Amino acid sequence: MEIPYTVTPRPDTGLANPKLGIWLFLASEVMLFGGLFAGYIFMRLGAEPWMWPHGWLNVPVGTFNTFVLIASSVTVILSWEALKMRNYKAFKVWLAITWICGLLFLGVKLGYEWPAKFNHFGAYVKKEAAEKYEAQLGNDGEDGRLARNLPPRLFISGHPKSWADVKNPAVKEIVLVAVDEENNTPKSTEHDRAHFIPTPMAHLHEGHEIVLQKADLLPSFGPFYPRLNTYLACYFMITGLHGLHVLGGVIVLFYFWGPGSKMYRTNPVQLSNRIEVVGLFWHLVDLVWIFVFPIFYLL
Amino acid sequence: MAHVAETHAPEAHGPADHAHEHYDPGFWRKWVFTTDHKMIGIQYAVTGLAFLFFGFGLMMVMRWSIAHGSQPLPGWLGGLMHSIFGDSVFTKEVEPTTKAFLGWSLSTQGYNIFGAMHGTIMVFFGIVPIAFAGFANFVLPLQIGAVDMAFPRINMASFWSFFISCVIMVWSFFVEGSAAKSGWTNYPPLSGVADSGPAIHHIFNGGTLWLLGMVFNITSSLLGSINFITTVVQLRAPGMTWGRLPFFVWAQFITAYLLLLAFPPLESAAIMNLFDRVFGSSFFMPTGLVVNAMGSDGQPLLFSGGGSPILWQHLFWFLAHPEVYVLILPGIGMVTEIIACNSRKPIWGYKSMVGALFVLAFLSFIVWAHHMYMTGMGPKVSAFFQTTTIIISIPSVILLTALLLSLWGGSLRFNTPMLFATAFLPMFGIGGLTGIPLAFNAVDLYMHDTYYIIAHFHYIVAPGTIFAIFAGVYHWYPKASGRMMNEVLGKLHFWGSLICINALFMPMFLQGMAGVHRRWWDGGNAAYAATVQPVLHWNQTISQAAWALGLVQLIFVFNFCWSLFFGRKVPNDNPWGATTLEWDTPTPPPHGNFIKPIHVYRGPYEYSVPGADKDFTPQSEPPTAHTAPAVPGGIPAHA
Amino acid sequence: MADPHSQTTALAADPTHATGAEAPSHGSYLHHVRPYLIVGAALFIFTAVTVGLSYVKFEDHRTFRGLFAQVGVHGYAINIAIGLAVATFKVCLVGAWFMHLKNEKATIWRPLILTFIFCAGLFALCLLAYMDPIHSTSHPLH
Repeated sequence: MEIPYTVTPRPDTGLANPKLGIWLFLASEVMLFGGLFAGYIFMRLGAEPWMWPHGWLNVPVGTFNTFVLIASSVTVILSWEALKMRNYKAFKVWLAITWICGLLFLGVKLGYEWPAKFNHFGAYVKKEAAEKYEAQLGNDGEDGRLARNLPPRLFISGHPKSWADVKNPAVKEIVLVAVDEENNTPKSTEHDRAHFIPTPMAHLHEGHEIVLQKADLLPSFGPFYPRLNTYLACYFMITGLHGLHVLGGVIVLFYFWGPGSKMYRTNPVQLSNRIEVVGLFWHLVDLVWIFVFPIFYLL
Repeated sequence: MAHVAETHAPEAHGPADHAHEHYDPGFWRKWVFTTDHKMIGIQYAVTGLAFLFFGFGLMMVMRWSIAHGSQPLPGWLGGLMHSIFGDSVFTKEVEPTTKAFLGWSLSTQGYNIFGAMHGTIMVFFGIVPIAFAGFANFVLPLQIGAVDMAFPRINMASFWSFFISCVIMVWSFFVEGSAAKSGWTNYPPLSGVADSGPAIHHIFNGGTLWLLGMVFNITSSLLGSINFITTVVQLRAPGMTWGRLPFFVWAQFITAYLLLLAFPPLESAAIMNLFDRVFGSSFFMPTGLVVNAMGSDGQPLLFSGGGSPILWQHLFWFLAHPEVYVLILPGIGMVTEIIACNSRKPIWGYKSMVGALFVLAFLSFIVWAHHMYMTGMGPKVSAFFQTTTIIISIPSVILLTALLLSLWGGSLRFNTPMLFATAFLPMFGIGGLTGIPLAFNAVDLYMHDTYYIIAHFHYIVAPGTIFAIFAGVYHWYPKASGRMMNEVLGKLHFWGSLICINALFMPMFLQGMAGVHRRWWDGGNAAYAATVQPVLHWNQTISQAAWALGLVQLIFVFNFCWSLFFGRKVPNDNPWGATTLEWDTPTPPPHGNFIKPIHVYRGPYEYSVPGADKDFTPQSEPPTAHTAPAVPGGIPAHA
Repeated sequence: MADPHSQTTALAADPTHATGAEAPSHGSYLHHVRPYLIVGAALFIFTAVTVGLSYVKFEDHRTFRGLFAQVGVHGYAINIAIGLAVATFKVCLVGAWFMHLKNEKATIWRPLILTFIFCAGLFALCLLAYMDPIHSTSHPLH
C-alpha cells in the first residue's frame, strides 16, 4: 500500500501532502505565538509605566543574532534552489551554512545572553521604603523624577557582593558592589531609553557599597529570573520557546544534510520536497524572531 | 474533475491490491505501534471509552457526597476508594462520642479533585478522543475512499502523544496532594497556588502535571487535525468532489480546523501557567495576593506581581468555546449518517447544513467571552458577545431543523443506532434552547455557576454527543469487528439510558433556577439549606438516577465485549444497506482498505431513488439508464 | 515512492523542475536566486533601519510635539508603531518571497486567511483589557 501524492502534487489541488501538512502546522504555530504575543501585549498594557523596563538587553548582540537568522533563511532557500537544479555540492554547502547559523544563534543565546541575565541582580524597592534609597532612585526633590512628570524609579540593579547572602533567608541585607548606571545617576533621563552600546556598571569603591535591607524589597528580588518581573517572564518564555523551535529546526536540517541527503541518489524529487518543507518551517522561525527582536530589544 | 480522477486512479489504488495480501507486520506493529488508521481509531475509541467510564465513576462518587454530605460511603466501597486514592481525597469518619470507625467519605478537597478531573477527563480524554479522533480515524478515510491517512506515522505519533497525556493525568492522582483541584477550567489564581507547599513536590504535583498532560494532549490533537485536513483535501477518491462528501466528513473536517486554530492559544496559556507554577513568574497572579491554608499562612504570596487572572480566562475560553463545537460537531456528523441510512431518504438540505457548519465554526471563535460575564466585563464588550452568541444559535438551529425534516416521510427503521440518533435530536434541542437565556448578560449573572448551567451543557454533551457516540458504535461496530451487536441488549441500553439521563439532568434545571451552586460539595445542605430548601430533596433523586445510569452502561460494556466473540456474523459487507464508501470495503477492512478500484459517481445520500432497483444507490455505483443522474449532495426522493 | 513515471510527470508539470532537470549552467542558477538575494539584502537593511529608528526620540521633535499633545499620544508610541510596522513589512517579505506565498495555491491561502483573522481576534484580547476595568488589577503597591 502506498499513500498517494506524498511526492507528486495532486492535479486538482496542485499540492503534495507534506506541503499542505506543513502549512497547516505553521498556521497552528502562528496561533501559538499569537497567543504568547497577545499575552505579552496584555501584560505590557496592564503594567504601570515604571514597571516595564527598557534597554535591559544587549542590542548589538541581538542585531547580530537577527542577521545570523536572516542569513540562514536566505541560505536554506539557496540550498533548495541548488537541489532543484541537481547541484548536489552547492546544496550541501548552503545547507551546512544554514544549520551552522542556527547553532551560532543558539550559542549566542545560551552561551552569552541568558547567562548574562542570570548573573545580574535586581530588586524592586517597596514604595514605603523608597525614601531610604533616594540616592539610587532619584524620585524626590525639585529636579527629582516625580517633579519632572517622569514615571518613578523603584528598581535597583547591579552585582551583589555574595550570591549566597541573596539566597540565604537568614541574612537580612544585601550588599551591592556595583550598580547599573541608571541607579548611579538616577536623576538623569539619559538611561530611560535603551542605548545601542550598553552602558557599563558603576563599580563602587570600598566603603561606598550600597546596602539593601531585604525587608525593604519586593520578594521577587534576586537574579534576572522570570520571577523578577513580567518583562523577563515574557522574554524567557518567548525566546525559550523560539529557541526550542530553532533547536528542532537545526536537528532536522542537520539530518537532511547528513544521513538524509543519501536520498539524493534514489529520489531527488522527494529530497527537494523535504528541503522545501523544512525550509518553510525555518522561515517561520525567522519570521517569529523578526517580531521578537524589536519588541524585546528595542521598544 | 472526472478526467483528472481517471488519470490517477491506478496510481492511488493499484498498489493497494497487492499490498494487503502480503501485509503481516507482526504483533507489535499490528496491534500496538500501528500506523493503520483503523487500528489507531480503535485504540483511540477504546482508550476514550475507558476514560469516559472512569470520569463517570468520579462523578458517581461526587453524587454520593452531594446527596449524603459527609456520611461515609457504603462499607467496602469507601475502603476500596480510600486504598486507591489515599488520604488527600477520602477522610475517615468517626462517631463523635465513641470515636468508633464509621467508614470513609469524600473529603471537601477530594470533591474538588474529582470535580476538576471529571471535567478534564470527560472533555479532553473521553469525548474528543472518541468522537473526533476515534471515529474520524476509523470512518473518515474509508468514507472518502482513501487507502490510509495522509501521514500514517504522524497518526501513530498523535495517538502515543495522547497516550502519554493519559498516563500523566492518571499518575497525577497518585502524587502527594493528589490531582489538580482547580476545576477543568483551571482558573488562576487558584491554579497558580494549589498543589504547592512544603510537602508537595515542586514539579510532580497535581496542578503542574495537569498542565503537562494538557500540553501532550494538545500536541496530539494538533497532529491529528493536520492529518485529517490533509487527508480530506488530498486523498479523496476519484470522483469524490467536495459536493459529494458525506456530511460526517464535512463535520470532522471543520472540527479539525477548530482544533488546529483554537488549541494553540490554550497551549500558550498552559506554558504561561507552567512558568507561574515552576519559575514563580506572575502572568496570572495579581500582586499582593493573600491566600490562607495553601501553605502560606495568610502572608502575601511570593509572586512578582502585575499579572491578571483574566488573561487566563480569555486565552482559555478562546480555545474552550470552539471546543464546545469540537464536542458536538462530530456527534452531529454521526447522527446525520445514521438518520439518512435508517430513514432510507436523503438528508434534507445538505448544502445548507454544510453552510451552517462553516458559519458555526467561524462564529465559534468570536463568542468566547460569554463565559466571562461575571468578570466585571463592561457593557460594550458584553453587548458584542451577547450579539454574536445569539447569532451562533442560528446555524445550530439550521442543523437541528434539517435533521428533523430528514425524518419526515422516511420509512424509519428503529434499530439501536437509529434510536440513539433520533433521541439525540430532542436532547440536543433541550440543551441548545436552554442555552439561549444564558447568552444574555442579565440572566447569566444570576444563573452563572448554578446547576442550570450544568444541566444545559450536559444536555448537549451527555444525551447529545454521548448518545451520538453510542449510535456510532452500534452503527459501525459491524464494519470494525465483522459481527453485529445484540439488538435486544442495545434497546435495553437505550431505554435505560434515556430514562435515567433525563431523570438525572432535568431536575438540575429546577435546582439551578432556585440558585443551587455547582461547587457545593454537600449539595447545599450545610450552609445554604435555608435558601434552597425547596429543591434540596432533588439531590437524592438525581444521585440515584446517576447510579442507575451507571448500571445501565454495564449492559453496553457486556454487549460490546460479548458481541466481539459471540455476536451474529454480518450477513454481507453492507448490513445496513448504506450508500457511503466505507460499506464498499471487505469486513473488517484490510490494510489498504479497498480491494477494488474506487470511483465515486454520485452524492452521499441517494436512498430510495425513483426507478432504482433497490432502495439505496452506493456512491461507487456507476450511473445507468435506470438510475437518476448523479447530483451533488443528493436530492430528496420526492423532488 | 520511486515510481519513475510519476516523477517525470511531476517534473514536466512544474516549470522549475523542468529547468532543473536540464543540468543548468551556473548563470541560470544565479538568475533563479537573484530575487532571494535581493530580499535577503532588503531584510538586512530594514533590520538596520529598525535599530536606527528606535533611537530617534520622536517626542523631542518640533513637528511632532504639538501633534502628540493634541491627540494625547506619547511620543514613544510612535517608536513602537514604526518598529512594528517595519517588522510587519519584513515578515511580509519573508512570507511572500521566501515562503512563496505570492503565488501559492488557494488551498493554502484559505486556511491562512482564517488564521490571520482569528489571530487578530486573539490580539483583540488587549482591546478588551482596555475597554474593561481590568487594567487596574496591575501593581497597587505604589
